[in-house]
Amino acid sequence: MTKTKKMKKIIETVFIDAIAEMFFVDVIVAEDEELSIDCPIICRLSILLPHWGELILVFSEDIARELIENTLGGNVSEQKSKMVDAVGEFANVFAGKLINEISPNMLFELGLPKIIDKSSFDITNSSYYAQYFQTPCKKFAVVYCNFKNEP
Amino acid sequence: MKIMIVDDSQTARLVSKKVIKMVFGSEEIEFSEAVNGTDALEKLELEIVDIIISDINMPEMTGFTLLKNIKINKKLSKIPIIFVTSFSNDARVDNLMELGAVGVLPKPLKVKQLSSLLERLKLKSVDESSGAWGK
Repeated sequence: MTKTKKMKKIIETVFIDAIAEMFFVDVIVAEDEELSIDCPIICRLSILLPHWGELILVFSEDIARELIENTLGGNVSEQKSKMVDAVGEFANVFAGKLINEISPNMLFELGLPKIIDKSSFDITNSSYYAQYFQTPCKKFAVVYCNFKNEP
Repeated sequence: MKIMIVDDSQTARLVSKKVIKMVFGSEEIEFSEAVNGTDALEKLELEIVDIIISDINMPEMTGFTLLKNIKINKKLSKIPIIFVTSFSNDARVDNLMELGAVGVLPKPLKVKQLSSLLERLKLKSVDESSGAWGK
């Protein structure tokens, strides 16, 4: 298995587990890898140690809403702040699990998750690993991962 | 039983409440919520809680500073504090235990892990039925 495939597999496994643990929802790897998210909630998180890099999570509002309503109940259709909070919190959980998977027993340090504008979202660097996910209703989430210093 | 949850994320507080309710089953649990250490200390001036479950990384006052402040306060120092963190192999986790935390659990909080810790600390009676949620 190539390094890229191995990394994508790790991202896939950790993402699916983290979503299930936190939101009690099953997601699967998307069949379609076309990124067409109109109102994305984008969260960027820096990995400072031991391997510098970053994670970028892109959730459609639809999937964020579905995850929150499934977990916490209620209707959050007009409450974007709740969706942003949930994506930021999920980014923390996902990053912790991912780093543990990549470098078990190694101490690490992460930056705080930051929600960024779509305008400043530019993934043109081919060194990012991209993995696409969907719920059974075809709502999208995407994970980009870039390690400057490969683990 | 009154439990204070300290976390700057509303989602995390809600997930924790959901898990705690599963752990305690039919037992009545009252919750108090705080968004950081400062908020928690202000609320602890006015109310008595039996357990504190706190995040570590929070703006304004972190879980570390909260723990230190609680441990030097005679009125609060006996309250058991459990920390939850996404980064369980964070170098600072050991420090929390040395400072007096009773446990550090990974985020998101899970029924089985929380239940086991509370039983070990005798903060909850052993309840085999809670194992059904243990995932």
